[in-house]
Amino acid sequence: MMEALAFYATAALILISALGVVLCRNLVHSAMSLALSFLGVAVIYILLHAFFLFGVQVLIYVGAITVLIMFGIMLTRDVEGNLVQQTNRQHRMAAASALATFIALTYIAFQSHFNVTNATPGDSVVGIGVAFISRYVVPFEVASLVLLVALVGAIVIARDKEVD
Amino acid sequence: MTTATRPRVPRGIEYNLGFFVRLGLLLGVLGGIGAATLPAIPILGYGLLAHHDSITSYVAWLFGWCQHSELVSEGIYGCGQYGLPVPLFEPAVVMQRVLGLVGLGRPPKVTVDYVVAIIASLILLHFVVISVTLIIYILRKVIGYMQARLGPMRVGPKGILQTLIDAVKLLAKEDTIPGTADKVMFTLAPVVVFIPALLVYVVVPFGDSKGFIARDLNIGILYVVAMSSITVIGIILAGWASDNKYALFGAMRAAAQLVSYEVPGVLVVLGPVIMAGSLGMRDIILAQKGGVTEWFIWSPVPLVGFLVYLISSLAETNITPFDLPEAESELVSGYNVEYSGMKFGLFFLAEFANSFTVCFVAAALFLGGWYAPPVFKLAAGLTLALSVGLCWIELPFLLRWALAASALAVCLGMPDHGWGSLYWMMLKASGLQFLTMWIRATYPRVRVDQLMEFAWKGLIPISLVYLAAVGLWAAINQK
Repeated sequence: MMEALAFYATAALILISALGVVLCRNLVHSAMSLALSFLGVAVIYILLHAFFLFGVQVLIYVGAITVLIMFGIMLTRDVEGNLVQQTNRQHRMAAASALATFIALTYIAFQSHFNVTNATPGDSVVGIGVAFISRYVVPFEVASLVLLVALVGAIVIARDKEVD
Repeated sequence: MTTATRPRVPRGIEYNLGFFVRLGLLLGVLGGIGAATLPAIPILGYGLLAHHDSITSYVAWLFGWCQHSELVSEGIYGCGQYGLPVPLFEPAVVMQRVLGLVGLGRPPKVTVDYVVAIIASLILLHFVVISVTLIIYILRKVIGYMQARLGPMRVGPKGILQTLIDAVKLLAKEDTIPGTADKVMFTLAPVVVFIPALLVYVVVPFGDSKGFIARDLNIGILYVVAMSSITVIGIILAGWASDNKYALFGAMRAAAQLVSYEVPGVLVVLGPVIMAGSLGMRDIILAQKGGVTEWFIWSPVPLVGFLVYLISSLAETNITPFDLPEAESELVSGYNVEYSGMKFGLFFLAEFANSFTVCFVAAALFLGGWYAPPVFKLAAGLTLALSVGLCWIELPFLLRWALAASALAVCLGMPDHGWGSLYWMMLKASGLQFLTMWIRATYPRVRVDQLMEFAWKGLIPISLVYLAAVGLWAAINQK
């Protein structure tokens, strides 16, 4: 009962803060809502007993990505973040694609079969580690390669701007 | 200078000797007070004889931790599960007794869980507040002595009540919010900074046995790193919401600095994790059992990991050589310049709590946690002998030396299990805290470009090499 209550409270938090990301007129407020939303997802991981994912979610999404977004807002636009236009003229297209994604996700969610078990999950750290270097070694390496390419690409772009 | 018949000890060295004696006393007192803080609350607070017929049986139970078969068999909801000292379960017992008398029977397990969680968090909150108060006082004293001045002297004997009075002052101060500030975010920022600083203490191992760690999460160190990474958001928020250019500069510097130094810090933390084969704080310490040589500070490359961790955590907690986000001479006070009253107090509290956490983590990861070096027992005896010898040479200092040496001997001879482990953990953490104070008093602030170059071109390559060495070490030692 308590877990269900915690889940619905967290889900409400995630949804409200996700709405805040879109609806806030101030970019910094949006970024803060995003951080709150990420934190809510982290709490969902706790409810699922996936503590490792919780740690990584907080570290990467809350701690790093939000900070980078804030940094981006403050470095690229006017520093206050107040006068930045939040909307553009493509809201119809955006609404259509959002609706399409929602329908697709709902369809997939209702189509897929979720296994239900009462067993307490084991140590997720070991499981994830073993999976990374055995079964999922190729996707893992590809992902790291993509990250490396992105890193090099970012450096190249930054260098070009410096020469200008 | 050459004709002196009796070589006099130069003034400076004499001063230093006295200083180190004082330092020994100070560390002993700090460790002792810290060790007393945690258990004192439940011991003083809750019904002494609620569950026991006599004080002796209560004390026996207090020191016996979870081994007391009576309690375990009576089903006091498995002490090990919450890993708190058994005394903390006293309220649960009292609650059960009271409810039983009223005729409501046993409370559901969930209720007991919540009571225990609330008490644990209260204890951690008390610990943070008390330790920060002590640290601020000691910091001011230590820096005072290092800069040949007195430090706080007015309030209480030797100014010992100064921080207390300062805290009262902060609480009583008018809480101002700038007119152009973003009010909600301005109020939220200190909370965002303080809560992670407090939450980190959940996994800090204060001593041996599961009774000294609030919750031994299996992701221990990852949890510490993750929680500390939230702090940056609060700092940026504070700087942005203040609507003040100095605050914003401070916040931007903080963001750049914390993100940069997080990388070597986290990379180096992986070293002990790989060597121990676990992310749990307790497991990492347990893997360092068996003398000083087993400490992770020596393997695979001596000192490298420890130093990189120490430097990057200095940068992450904005301590002086890296205090650019709050550089007083350039930015007035950086991101917290517009804050007053307890909002400012929360920033202050969080900063010092973080600096102490870092010391605990460094002690746990690299300095063998609560394990005392076996040679210290020998050193304890030697110190006593030495003190007797010294007493003969310099008679007027007899009392002082004897006092210092016996304090030192007691400190060195402490056992490193049970309650003694609390002392050792505190001592190591306090020692590291003293080291940061020393650095704070000694080094000038680095420049922004030096700061960034040092992280990206210095620390990160070093920590990558260190990590590779750790991998090699682990591969060799596995066989």
